[in-house]
Amino acid sequence: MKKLCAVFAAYAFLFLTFTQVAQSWQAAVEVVSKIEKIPKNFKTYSLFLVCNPQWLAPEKSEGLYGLYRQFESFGRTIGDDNAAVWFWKAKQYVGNDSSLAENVDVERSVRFCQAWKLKPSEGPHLVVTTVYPDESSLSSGLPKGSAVYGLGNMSPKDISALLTKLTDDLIGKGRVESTPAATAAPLALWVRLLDATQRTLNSFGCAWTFKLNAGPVSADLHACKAE
Amino acid sequence: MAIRKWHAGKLIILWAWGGVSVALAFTSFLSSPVRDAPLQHLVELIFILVALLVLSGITWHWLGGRESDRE
Repeated sequence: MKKLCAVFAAYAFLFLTFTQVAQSWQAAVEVVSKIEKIPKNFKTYSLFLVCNPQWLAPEKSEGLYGLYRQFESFGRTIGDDNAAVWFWKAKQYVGNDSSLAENVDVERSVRFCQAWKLKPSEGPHLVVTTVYPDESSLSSGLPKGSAVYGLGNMSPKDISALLTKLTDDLIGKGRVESTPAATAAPLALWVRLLDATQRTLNSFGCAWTFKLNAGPVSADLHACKAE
Repeated sequence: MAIRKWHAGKLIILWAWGGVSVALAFTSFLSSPVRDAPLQHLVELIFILVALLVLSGITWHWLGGRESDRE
């Protein structure tokens, strides 16, 4: 009887130890159901948003499964301070079949895509942000400094290379460089005009030079440093 | 504030302060990308234009009819 108790206690100890270890490197956060919120207290959040209807088709199930596996690996390698987030509808076995697309919480991803003005046709998207993605205040828009990557037209090899680079950045610098696509919404006309005005004034500012030659004194001034 | 009589010194002071303000706004306008803060850049550009117009208008008004004094 004593031997049985000892064996049982050892088994329970090992089970608890492994589950705790498993949870300690759970930076791959799978948010299940509409109620579960994205956990807080991470330095960065990398959200995998599936808003593209094409990726929910049966013929894309293999690609979607591959993306999920890459998400898992990414989440495990970016460290405990950074979270990779994937939205599910229900907790169930993830397999390479049609049930995978049905279980992806697309509706939740679409709320993010709508609020952050992400084009579904360019998705699935990977959004990396240092600001907690609070779903109750999505109307404030994409947080400044966020990086947006449209994975829709990327091959699995390209996605893998991108995730490798992002892992390097997150581990090494603790952040990623924001991409021009971070401001996914097209610029208004007045903003483009202002931008053009700024570029014109900048180029004009570099156009002049001033030379002074007065015998022993000579000076040569340039507005911009010659490259 | 009504200015009773213009003096060259007053215009110099006005242009000095105005010029510095315009230069600061101009530097701020050119230093960062427009996309980062479009409204701020718009306000700066409008301020630059309005400030130069106001200074030019005041100077023009002061110089208006001055040539009659020299004749």
